[in-house]
Amino acid sequence: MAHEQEECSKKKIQYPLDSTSYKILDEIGVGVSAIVYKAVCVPMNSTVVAIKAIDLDRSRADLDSIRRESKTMLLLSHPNILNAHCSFTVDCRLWVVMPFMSGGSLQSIISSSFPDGLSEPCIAVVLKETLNALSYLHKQGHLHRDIKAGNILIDSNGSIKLADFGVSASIYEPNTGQGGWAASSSSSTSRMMLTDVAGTPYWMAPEVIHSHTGYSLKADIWSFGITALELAHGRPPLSHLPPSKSLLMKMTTRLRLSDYEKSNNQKDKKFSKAFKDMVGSCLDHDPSKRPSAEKLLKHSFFRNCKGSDFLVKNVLSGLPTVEDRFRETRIVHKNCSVDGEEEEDPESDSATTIVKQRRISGWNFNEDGFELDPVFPTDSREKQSESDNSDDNVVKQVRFGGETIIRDQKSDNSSDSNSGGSPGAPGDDEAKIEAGNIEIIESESNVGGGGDFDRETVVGGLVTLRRSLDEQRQQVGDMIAMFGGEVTKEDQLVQHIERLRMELQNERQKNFELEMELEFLKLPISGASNTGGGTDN
Amino acid sequence: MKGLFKSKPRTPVDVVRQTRELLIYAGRTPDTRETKREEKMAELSKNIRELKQILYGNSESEPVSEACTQLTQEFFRENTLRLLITCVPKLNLEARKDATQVVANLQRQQVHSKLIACEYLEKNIDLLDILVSGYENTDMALHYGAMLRECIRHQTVAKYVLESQHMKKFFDFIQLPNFDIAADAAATFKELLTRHKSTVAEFLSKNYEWFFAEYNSKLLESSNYITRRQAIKLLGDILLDRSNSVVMTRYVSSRDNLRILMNLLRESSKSIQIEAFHVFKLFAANQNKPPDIVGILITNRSKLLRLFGDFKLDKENEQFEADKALVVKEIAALEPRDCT
Repeated sequence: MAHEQEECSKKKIQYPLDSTSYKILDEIGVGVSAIVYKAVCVPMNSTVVAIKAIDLDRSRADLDSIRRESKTMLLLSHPNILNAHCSFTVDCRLWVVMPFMSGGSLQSIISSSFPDGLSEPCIAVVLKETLNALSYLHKQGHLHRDIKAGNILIDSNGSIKLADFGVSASIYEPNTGQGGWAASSSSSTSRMMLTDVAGTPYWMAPEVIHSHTGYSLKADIWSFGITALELAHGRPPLSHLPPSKSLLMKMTTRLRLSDYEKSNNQKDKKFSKAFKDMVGSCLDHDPSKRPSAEKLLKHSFFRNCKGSDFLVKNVLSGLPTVEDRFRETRIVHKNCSVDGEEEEDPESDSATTIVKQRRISGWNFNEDGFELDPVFPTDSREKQSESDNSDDNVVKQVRFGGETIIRDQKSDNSSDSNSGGSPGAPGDDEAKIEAGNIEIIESESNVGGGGDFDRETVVGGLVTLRRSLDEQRQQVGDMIAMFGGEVTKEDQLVQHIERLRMELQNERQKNFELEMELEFLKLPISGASNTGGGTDN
Repeated sequence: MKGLFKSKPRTPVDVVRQTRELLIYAGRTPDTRETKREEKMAELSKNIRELKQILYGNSESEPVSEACTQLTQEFFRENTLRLLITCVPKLNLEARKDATQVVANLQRQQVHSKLIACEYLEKNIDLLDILVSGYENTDMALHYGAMLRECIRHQTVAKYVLESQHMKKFFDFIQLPNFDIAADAAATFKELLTRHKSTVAEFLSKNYEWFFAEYNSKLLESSNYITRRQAIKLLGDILLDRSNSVVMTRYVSSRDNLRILMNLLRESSKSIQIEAFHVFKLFAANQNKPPDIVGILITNRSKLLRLFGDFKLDKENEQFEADKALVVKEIAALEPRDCT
């Protein structure tokens, strides 16, 4: 017992609960309502820590969900999970003091130094460590609900930790005390299902989007599979589309992740069969067929997995520091962060703790710097690959370095009718909302002629180009303003218009969400018979 | 390939019994043979985990109601709950979490459509004292706090805590510097004051004086942002509840209370302002305003009307706008009355 207690108390070295004990060194991340600092804890030998300062007044989440997140982090204890040292309030900010992970997130590493993804042995190490965390979480009855490279952190010694429990949920915790508890007693808690939508669109499992059917621990496994693709390619599938669109795509089509270039392309990444098999199993549309985290750990892909030293040598060496990486992205982000955030996270109600740098994902990294929008070139590559591919028309499959890992179970015909039938309606509705992008959806509903693909991709490319030009224009304007250049009346006007446009976008977003909800409601009526088989009980 | 003696699975009753034996062992002061103790503690953790799995099921199987019933019956047949609660500090983190979930689940288990956990707690009400005092211990607070919140789902148990001396301590627990503990205490406090309507109404009527004096000075006028924000929100929830109408009428007739609310209306925090408005509107809408309340409102009329003029929610809300219009109309129409 003495031993156990000792262990407990050793883990819980009490960090001071007042802000004066900490000296802030640098900003390393910014979100809508949170800033992350690198700091030292002075009374504790100036230990380096990361402090996430959440503005509780601006945070969309209510205090209850913040409390639950904080508690979850506090009560988990695993080498691959990032714990909080302590948390306390400073005026209207909640300071969450955490260990400082000097390598930052895998997402930030990829976008700064590995735009085409990591090598397979590195991926294996990262994924294995992540799986350890996931397996622990799941055994505890927790879902993470936001697995992605942006939430996988690495320390200077190569150790990997899973972070950000902003949207995590426990299947043991009843739904926040609403309603009669007698009714919600064992039946609803024991089914191990949750029904609210959370997470980040690209990584989200289809059944999470179809939230009315409920989802389980296997939703994390889907996101894990998407994260594997993200690490391998540098971005998640469908990331060339805005998040809301990617949601819609997963809803309206059985599976449509033909996002990556073919292997006969220049990059020519060869992935092992084991890797492809592992990812393929995670991305099964039927949650019950996806392996558990524990089972995945035994997959041959993780056999002979290298250790953390391997990451130190192959990923961390020569990497710019977290602070530098953040500074780089920040100069230009300064003025458009709100915009970016809106894009990033419109569907999720996570809200709590968005750390800009960690959350930036493939799709909006294009805001950074004057570099070419990274989404665009891939779009054109894809155009090429898709037109290469236009004869066989097999869009509904996941391609992985050119090889198909998942094929839609249904024939092309049936999925066509699927997207053309009732679920296709959201696309039509959207035509009224987002004039710029509708072509993509529209042309999908009449998939069939090879020519349609060209139109689709050309329009998609042009839309992206226009967006990136707009963004760059604004960034130039911001830069001029920042260096004290002339702030003309015109500029102010432009800014004003920009603001108005953002408001409009928000309204559209809201409208869109409502329409989607409407679709959800319609779905069971029109398609109960053909989709009903997909749920697990 | 199971061993010959392991082929017979243990029944839920067996698991509870063994857990109880191990709990009794763990409760004893340790003797010299430490190694054996470690083994037994590991065994205990395993048993608690097994209890949890019977009650919640696992990823492969749903809980079986018959097994849950047997477990619950055996659990409360003897003093297992007391043993478990007092033993929590001796368990490791994982076992503590399992124990918390087991205790939580047991509160909802019905045996012959009766909540036998409730009957047990009524006879062992001092267990609640242990749970509440958990907030004074950093290591125990979150575990005992979660158990406590489950126990006060029973009306009689909540009534006990409300009327105990512990109630006063919550005003301090809520303001503890450790966010997690303070927030947990606040959640329990809220539960106590909102879940069982009639009990709460009775408590507030009987304890009006000291309760709202503490509430105003310690919570609404706290220097801590999060305390003020949670307190004003909860105050709104309490006063707007129909069952508390008597208390509400009394509250909105006090000029001291009005002064505090008006200060909250001026806060820079939008969230606090909005919650304060929901309480302030009760003062304005009161059809029997005492003269001193009318006086204060008239003195501050122009300031208040200006404030409400720019007062908007981020999202449009018809109800809010309607409330605001009503309050503005009420204040604008006020006539000075003879106060003497």
